[in-house]
Amino acid sequence: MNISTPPPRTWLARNASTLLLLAPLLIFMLGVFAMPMVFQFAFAFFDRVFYKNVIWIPKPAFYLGNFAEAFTNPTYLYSIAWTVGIAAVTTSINILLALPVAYFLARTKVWGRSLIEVSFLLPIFGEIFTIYALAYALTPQGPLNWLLLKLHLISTPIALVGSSWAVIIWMSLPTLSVLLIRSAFSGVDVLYEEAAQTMGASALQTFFKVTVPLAKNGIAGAFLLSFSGGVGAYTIPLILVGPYNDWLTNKIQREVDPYFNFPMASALGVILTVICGILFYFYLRTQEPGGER
Amino acid sequence: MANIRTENLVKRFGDFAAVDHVNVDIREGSFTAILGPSGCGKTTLLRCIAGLIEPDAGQILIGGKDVTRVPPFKRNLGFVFQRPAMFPHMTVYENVAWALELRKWPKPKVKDRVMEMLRLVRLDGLEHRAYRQLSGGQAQRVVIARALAPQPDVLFLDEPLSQLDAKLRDELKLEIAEIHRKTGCTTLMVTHDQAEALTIADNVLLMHQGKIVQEGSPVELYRYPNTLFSADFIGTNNFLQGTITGINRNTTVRLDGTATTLSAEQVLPGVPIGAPVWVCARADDIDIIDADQQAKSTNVVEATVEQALLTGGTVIVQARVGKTELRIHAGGSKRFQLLGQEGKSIFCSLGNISLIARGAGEGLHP
Ligand SMILES: Nc1ncnc2c1ncn2[C@@H]1O[C@H](COP(=O)(O)OP(=O)(O)OP(=O)(O)O)[C@@H](O)[C@H]1O
Ligand SMILES: [Mg+2]
Repeated sequence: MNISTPPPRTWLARNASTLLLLAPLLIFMLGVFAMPMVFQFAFAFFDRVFYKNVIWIPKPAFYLGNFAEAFTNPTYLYSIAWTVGIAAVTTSINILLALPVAYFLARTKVWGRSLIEVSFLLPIFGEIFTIYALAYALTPQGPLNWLLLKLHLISTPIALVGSSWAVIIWMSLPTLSVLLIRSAFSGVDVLYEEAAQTMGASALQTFFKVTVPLAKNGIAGAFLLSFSGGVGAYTIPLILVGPYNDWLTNKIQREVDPYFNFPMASALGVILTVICGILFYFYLRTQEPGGER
Repeated sequence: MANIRTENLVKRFGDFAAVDHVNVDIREGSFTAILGPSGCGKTTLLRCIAGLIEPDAGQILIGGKDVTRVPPFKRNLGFVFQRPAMFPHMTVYENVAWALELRKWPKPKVKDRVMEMLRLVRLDGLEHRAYRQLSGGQAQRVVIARALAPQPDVLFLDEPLSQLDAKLRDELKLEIAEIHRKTGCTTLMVTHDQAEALTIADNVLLMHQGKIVQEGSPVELYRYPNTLFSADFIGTNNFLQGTITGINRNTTVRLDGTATTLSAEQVLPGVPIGAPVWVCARADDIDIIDADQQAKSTNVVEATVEQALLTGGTVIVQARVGKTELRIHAGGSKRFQLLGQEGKSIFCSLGNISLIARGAGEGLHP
């Protein structure tokens, strides 16, 4: 029998239809996300010149001065440390608070569970609305101060709005993380928890030694998402603290307006991106092939 | 090691009683099988005793101690689930060691015990494997080793073999029996596979609609079923209507509508001469005999062959005695002679028959 082998097809020929289908999305993603990042990255290494003694303009160069400035000038250094530090602390609190709530939602059949779950999404979709609601709640006349006064925990109202505390409270409150962790917990078979109990583990031991480790991928994802939201938060400190706050995002904005220092703003942005990138790397490391066959 | 007792244990789901006033008394060190059809409440009963489900009423005593409201982690038990419940985030070693670490055993002792257990289930050498690197049977053996490691008072097995293929099931079945012999741990196993129960258990609880209908050794259950359900559930049984004609050490019965008398090696308590009974004859126990062998054989009846099918090892014969159908699983070299005998008359020795009391008006086969 004579079987003629078809001529070997190139990679492009074999994947043409896939590429064609992906093309619109790929072009969109490249245009909207990749290009600005490339520009930002390039800008971060630009120098600048004082044009006609009127305006500073970026000057293409390979100049490391912006990064040197960011890590030596105490104002920038403080801002970086503050932003990352607050994000780390608030994300940890956020996740710790989310764990029991998410577990409860995953394991019990409460009436109106989806309503409860949607309410955790409200701060994401109605962000501005909820920020102002929180701002009101934290005013000296607001319900939080009223409660603290009634409980005699404080004697005079504390001004939380306008201070960084408002942002810390906001970031510590679990929202999307509850839903992410809930779905991770739902994916943990109750069988393992029952097995742990028959082996002599109390409810807490079962939770921390079986349920949480088995849901660790989802929890790590929730941590990453909360953390990057934390370091990247712009509007929240702006509204709750005011324009001259210590968050790096706001600092970046101030580099542009009024100083018009695009290279410095880009360098700070790159630093922020790299920090999230490092965290993302560790996140991917936790996503090693899981337990299931 | 401990004995297990329940008193009027009840578990309801809504109005439906999945476990309905169950009283069991399980001897220390025994291997008890809970046998019954699907949905009869076996798993629910087992999980109640283990503490994974809280009963609605009744009491559970393990080793004489009332544990009805004691959470499972304080009951010192081992539980093997239907699906392999080996922790996927731990290695084989860590799985077996886990319960010991919870009990704060010293490290060297943990190591010795884990190795001992892995040898017991023949998994030594695989202690660093992860779940995904094991076969289903191996994973189930890890769970058995893990359950036995902390020397539990009782071991519970809920259909531990049902997800394995037939060959592996047979292997592991014998292994479980062997492990029980070596450890002597009181074992309670749920199964709906009667062969499994009869092979490895020394005590069988037969369950039906949330109730225990019969308890006894496998031989007792097989030879002397006490209800039509028992007789029908285990093996293939024939039910013929008869009337008691004499009682001494044995009971003699006349088959209704015939002159044939049969003898059963049992006396039904409280059932007098003249009472109607069901005569149960197992399809596997019936022998086909030659006409001249009648005098030498026990419990001979004459039957008409309606159909004979060769299935390999046995010939399944559908015959008729009077108005009653008789199913025969014929073995031996004579079985081939039955093929093509439709309409012919044969003599059958019913062998060991058993009797079950029958209500006066009770009609045909249940
Ligand atoms: N959580 C539950 N809610 C409502 N009904 C239940 C629940 N668990 C079990 N049942 C019912 O209780 C009865 C007994 O269930 P159980 O699982 O104990 O049966 P089983 O004898 O183990 O059956 P199988 O051999 O199929 O495993 C069944 O009719 C089942 O539908
Ligand atoms: Mg079951």
